[in-house]
Amino acid sequence: MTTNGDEAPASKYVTLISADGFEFVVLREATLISPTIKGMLRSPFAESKTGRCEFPEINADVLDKVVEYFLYWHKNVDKPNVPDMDIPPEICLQLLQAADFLGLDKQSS
Amino acid sequence: MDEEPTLPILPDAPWSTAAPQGLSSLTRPGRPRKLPRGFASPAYTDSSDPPVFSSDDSPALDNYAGDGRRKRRYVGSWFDQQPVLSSDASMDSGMGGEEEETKMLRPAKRRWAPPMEPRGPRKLKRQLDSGVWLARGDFSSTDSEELGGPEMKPGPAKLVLTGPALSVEEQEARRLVRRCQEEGNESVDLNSLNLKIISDTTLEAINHIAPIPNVDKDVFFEQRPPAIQLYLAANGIDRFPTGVLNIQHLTVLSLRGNNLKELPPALASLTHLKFLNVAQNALQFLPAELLTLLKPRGRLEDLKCQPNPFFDIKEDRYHVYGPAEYESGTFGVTEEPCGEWEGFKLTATLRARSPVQFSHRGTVVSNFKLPPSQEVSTGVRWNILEQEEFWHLQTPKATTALHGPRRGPASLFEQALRVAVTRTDHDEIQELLRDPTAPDHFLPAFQRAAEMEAMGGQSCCVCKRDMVVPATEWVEFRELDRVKMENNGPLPSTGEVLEHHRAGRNREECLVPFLRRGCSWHCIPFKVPEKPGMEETRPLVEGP
Repeated sequence: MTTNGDEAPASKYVTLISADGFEFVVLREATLISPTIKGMLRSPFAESKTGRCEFPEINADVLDKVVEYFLYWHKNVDKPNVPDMDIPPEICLQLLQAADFLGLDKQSS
Repeated sequence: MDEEPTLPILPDAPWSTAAPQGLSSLTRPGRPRKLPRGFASPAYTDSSDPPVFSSDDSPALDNYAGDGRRKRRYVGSWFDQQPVLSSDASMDSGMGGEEEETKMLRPAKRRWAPPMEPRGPRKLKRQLDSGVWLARGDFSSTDSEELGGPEMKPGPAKLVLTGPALSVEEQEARRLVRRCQEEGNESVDLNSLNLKIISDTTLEAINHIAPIPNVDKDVFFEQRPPAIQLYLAANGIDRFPTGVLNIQHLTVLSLRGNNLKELPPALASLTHLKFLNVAQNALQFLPAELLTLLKPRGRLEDLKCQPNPFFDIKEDRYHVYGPAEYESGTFGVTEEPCGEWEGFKLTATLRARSPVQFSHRGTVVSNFKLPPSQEVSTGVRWNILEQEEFWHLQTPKATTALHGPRRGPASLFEQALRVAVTRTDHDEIQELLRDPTAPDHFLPAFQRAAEMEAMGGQSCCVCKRDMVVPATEWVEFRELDRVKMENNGPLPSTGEVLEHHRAGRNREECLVPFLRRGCSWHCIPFKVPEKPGMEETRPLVEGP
């Protein structure tokens, strides 16, 4: 349990909910690569209290890949020559859209 | 006689099993028996076996000997073997067994055939290269009748290829390539064919050209790899033919006098290239990857790239300090292997650098922008680029902490885009991206990525990773020199500068722009530390 300087003690995990109701419990640190989720978890928003972020535009299969990317990123932040993730071509366009929405389109710094 | 056991009936060939029946039917009352007697006398037996037992009086055998069973005649080749439907057989067709048998033996297609008219003596003919004499004339006529008959079934519909038809020019190119292939000619001359587009399959055939080895006396037989020379000059080609990149042993490539706007970075994969001519195109820059083809890493001896509407800079002077530090700082210290070499060598000395164009989501965010590629038809303009000293680096205001090598994985957007361009249905994807609900920057990013993918992909010049959309781009201006080494010395300075001698050149031919591409905002030129005396300059063109 850490307190991120907010009023409520923030959990180490956040829950991401897809359009079709699937819930993914992810390490909070890993999701912070996305500026969108980072913004949602800031104090004035409801998500910061509940720790539950709903994505009515993203389906479970795509959100699954996004969550995989979060963990992949979290594991490899400081490593050089990281191989690409395995992305099925069927969902690449939806994934493009999700990545754009979540702000995952620039190099992590 | 009756007490004597009769012999068991020999197993007969299938067509004769019906014979006893048929023969017994001959004795049936009320049916006049008409036997053709034209070819077999009644006394003549067609059995080749002598009678086994003289006392044999089996009725079948009696009949066998007495009536002279009709012998079947077989005409034609063995695989077409069937009893000829001659007049005698058709007369016998009333008999049950016989008819069945005939039906069984005759293929269905012959059933409708009209009774043959009596034939004259058959003419035999032998093919020139064959020892077999075959009947001709009679059968060809019946065959043609059969072909036109009512039971003739139409064959399976022929597969019609619906691909784009080959242009006349490309057919001509294929013919030329095929001829080179047959003759073992390594020099493929496709100049001035008005090709416009040349497909990968046409160029793929060039890979199969194998030189004919020298078989002179006292010369060791040696199969050497081909040294392909491909001339595609003056063809009006406006996209780099990607098939060229698959020709491994290409040593000479001429694309002079086309409308090329860009050369693919994958050109660097042609490591055997010795001579490259890209003059008289619409090129504004060359890919920096081309530099890896220079000696001693590559084998490039000459590069003809003038005239082209290349980028240019205003300055007539260059800074002495900076280039070496910039190169080692940006691309790492690369120890040039100083192998022994002889002959010509091309050197490209860095003289200046443009500012860096930063882009984000496919749009340029920096003040500096590279001019877009232009059409040849609109008139060739030489674009003058800004110049940036090696100790300066303009960056967009928003960015901080750009130093240090890039670490961590590629962004999800980039990875997804990379997967998207590997799909084959580019048109459908573009259609989807054109949808108003899709964000605007998707389509240009995808188009650019697809174009680069078709050109063989590209990689970051700094961190060498594969990339889809370059995030940073800048131009290096280099001076090309062709140096001839005579004394086998390792140092270029001891060589004699032959062509492009600096004093003899005019201003435009001096500098050639090479485009560098970086995959992220971390992959940028190294900012050379300032030091006293760095302002020293020298003129680009010597002499008055």
